[in-house]
Amino acid sequence: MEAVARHLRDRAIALGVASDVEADSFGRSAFNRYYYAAYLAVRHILEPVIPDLPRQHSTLPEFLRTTVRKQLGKRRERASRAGDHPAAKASKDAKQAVLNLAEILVAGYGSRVMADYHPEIPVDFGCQDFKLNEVRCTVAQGWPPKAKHFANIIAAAMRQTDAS
Amino acid sequence: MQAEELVSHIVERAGLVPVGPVVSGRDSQSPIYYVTLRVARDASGKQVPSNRSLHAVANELKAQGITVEFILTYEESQDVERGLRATILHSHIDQIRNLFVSIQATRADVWIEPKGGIEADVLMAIHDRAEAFLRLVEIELSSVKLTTEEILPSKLALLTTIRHHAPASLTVIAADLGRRKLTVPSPDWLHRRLDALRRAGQVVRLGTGEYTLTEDSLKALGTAKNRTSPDIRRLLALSRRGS
Repeated sequence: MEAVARHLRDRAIALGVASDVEADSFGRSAFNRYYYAAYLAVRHILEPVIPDLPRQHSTLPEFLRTTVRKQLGKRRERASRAGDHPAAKASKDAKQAVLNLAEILVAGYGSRVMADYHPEIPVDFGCQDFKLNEVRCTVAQGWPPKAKHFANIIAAAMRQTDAS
Repeated sequence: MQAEELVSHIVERAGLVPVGPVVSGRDSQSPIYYVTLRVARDASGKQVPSNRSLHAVANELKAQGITVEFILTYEESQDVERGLRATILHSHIDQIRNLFVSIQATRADVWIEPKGGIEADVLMAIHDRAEAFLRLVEIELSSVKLTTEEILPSKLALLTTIRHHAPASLTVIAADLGRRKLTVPSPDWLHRRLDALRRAGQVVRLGTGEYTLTEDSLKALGTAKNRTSPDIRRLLALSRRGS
């Protein structure tokens, strides 16, 4: 899906240079695809370790910031009690990773809503690449790999501290 | 549209300046409003607006029954990331696939996605280049980390596996760790880890070559009274074994 997004992006840039009317459609679709690439990767990585991950896009970040962080906190304590400092540290790092991941998902989903439901917000081609409401396409490009990275940190900590 | 405008006004009254219109999410019963904000760093390197002030505004709105999420755009750190990526990829195109930066105040964490195994001296060279680059923009490099999908089992993972299957042979332990998607590099690696645990008084090696926990580690691991209780799982594992 990232490949699709990249294709849409390249097309948007090419058309944007030529001031083509379709440039806007390609540009906003690229944001949509970059978000979905990130979202699906996160589901794929986290679902095996967090079975009750909500399916709703808009409530997922808050679930991560509250429920998942609380659970990681408990696991950190458990690891410390067992004298496993690396696992305790992994849980602590994962708590930060959760915040980073939530931030990406918020920016991604918010941008996807703008891209798909708010045609009155135009894609801005007045910069090196292009942006939608101040979110640059290069930033959107970073969503999938960054989201995967943070999700992997969280999944690793969950696996290391799974006491059942 | 009215609700979105109202949210925009409230956010502005709280001293924040939204970029563009406020939009609302479509997939939940009560809408979530997305507010885009520009984030910068002040002279001392602190984030403006701070996370604390964003949290305060979100809570204030929550009290009025409005849920907001902030989309933060960091002009400056985007430029730093782009510059650093170009610099590092340029000299290490054969070794690394991509690079990301996360900046908190004046310190940055750098992650690299290697193309395969990466050698220590290459990692060191990347570290030095990143450090030099970041110094130019007055940011201190706090760490360079590799993003890798291989996870070696932690001590806690080893102990809980042994508790579950005790007395557990090397093969059983390795298989259970594998089921939990943890990587055991080799039987020898596992053997050495277990031997270290034995010397630390956390596991006992029986005459049969199987491992069990010591009383101390059992106490340290504790238990839980819920559906994932290790005691229940242990009982089930025992009955499955028919002993």
